[in-house]
Amino acid sequence: MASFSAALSSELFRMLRRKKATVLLILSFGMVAVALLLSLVVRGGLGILGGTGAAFPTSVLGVYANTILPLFVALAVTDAFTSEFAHDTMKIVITKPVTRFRIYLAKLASVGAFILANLLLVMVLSMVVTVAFFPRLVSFGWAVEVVAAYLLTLFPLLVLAVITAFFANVLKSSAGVFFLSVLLFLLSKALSVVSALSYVLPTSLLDWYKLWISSVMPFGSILRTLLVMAAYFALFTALGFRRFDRRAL
Amino acid sequence: MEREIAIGITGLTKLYPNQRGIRGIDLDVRQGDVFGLLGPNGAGKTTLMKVIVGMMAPDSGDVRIFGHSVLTDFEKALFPVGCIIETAVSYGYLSAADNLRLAGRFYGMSDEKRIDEVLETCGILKYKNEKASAFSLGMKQRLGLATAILPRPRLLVLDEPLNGLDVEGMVEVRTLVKRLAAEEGTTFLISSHLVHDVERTCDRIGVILDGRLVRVDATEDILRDHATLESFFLSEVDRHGKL
Repeated sequence: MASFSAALSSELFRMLRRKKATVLLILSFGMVAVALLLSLVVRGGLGILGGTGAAFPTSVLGVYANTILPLFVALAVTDAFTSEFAHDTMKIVITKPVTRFRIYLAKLASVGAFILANLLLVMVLSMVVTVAFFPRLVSFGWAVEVVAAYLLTLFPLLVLAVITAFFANVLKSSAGVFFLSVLLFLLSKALSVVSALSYVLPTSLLDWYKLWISSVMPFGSILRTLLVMAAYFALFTALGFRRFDRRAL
Repeated sequence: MEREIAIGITGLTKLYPNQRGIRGIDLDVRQGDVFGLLGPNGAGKTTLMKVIVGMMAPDSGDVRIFGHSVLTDFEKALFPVGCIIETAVSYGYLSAADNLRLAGRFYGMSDEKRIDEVLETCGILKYKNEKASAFSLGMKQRLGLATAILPRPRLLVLDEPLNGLDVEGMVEVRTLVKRLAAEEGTTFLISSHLVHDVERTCDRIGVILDGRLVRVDATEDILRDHATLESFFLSEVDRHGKL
């Protein structure tokens, strides 16, 4: 366990020192600012993104989790895997006393921490905006709903991360992995519109927080989505690790 | 009393698709040995070292480091090992000190004095807070060496450790190897194309030709029969018809 902690802290330390992570967090900040601006210029307050001002945080989440955040996930995963192989820095950690399985998990966990940080940043910003502009609409129940929506979105984004990590261990080019991820994301989005089996597509999972915050909680749909996510996670973690473990440096 | 086996290699084979690599290597390197690997380019020296430190898995055979198999007990096997394989690599966006701090985490080390000590030993203490991306090849090599010796490893695997170093740096590394072997009993497995340097540093020599370990002998015994290690090496190559 100590070796896993060392690998994870190493990943997080390096992520924080890289400019890319900071840039992505600033972009997240900018995303909320743009959403707020768009909302304010439209008559009816925050109507462009949601029905009411109180829905601003979840409306921002809906747009953010389906557009920019998956791109950030792809960038973080390629940084953690493909770039390290390409720059030969993977051997720094591979030759340390830590198994490849723990390295793989530490890399995925660091990507998870990055996603969570992004979600929390956008959540806090959007909540602050709502409190500032619509203080009368804010309540404890509202806050719980918003926090739940943001935290629940971490899981489908982790699924996207493990799928991308598999490709990052198959392809050798960071650009190739990034563009393949974008292509597959768009394809999945398109299929989810036309396919009757849209609920099994990874991109459809991104909106699963809506199941939890709807007035009547559909337990069957929640369980089905949970199982689909668990299946994706287990399958692509196993496939990705298999590639990572066998890769010669 | 017989010294402990630092590296025990049995039936090690690793072949690439072009059928190059290493075949059926058996070798024991004992604690305190400064073992030099000689061989022409592509003979399999780096492949052997890569398998020893876990950069690639063998097709068959095993490597045990101080009794622990790299295949089944990797963390324990690698804990007493420091290495530089092919080129010394560091994170360019981190300072020299941060690179060492990161490496130290894997050994439960957070001793700033030790970091200063190894940077001083490798002659780059004054560049401690500079980013590694600004380092010359020689400075990167020194940083790689500092990282390798940081946790006071019992075994150092060094593949071409003198790459990029100036004459002063080469002498410093040679002195460091001898000092660590004498004072701390550190075991070394070194490959270098600088035969003269291997002759002055290593007390046992192994010759790899075409992926096979064809000869292992004490440097002293070799030099009894040959004027220089270079002439021994050339005679071995000639004997096996590889020239």
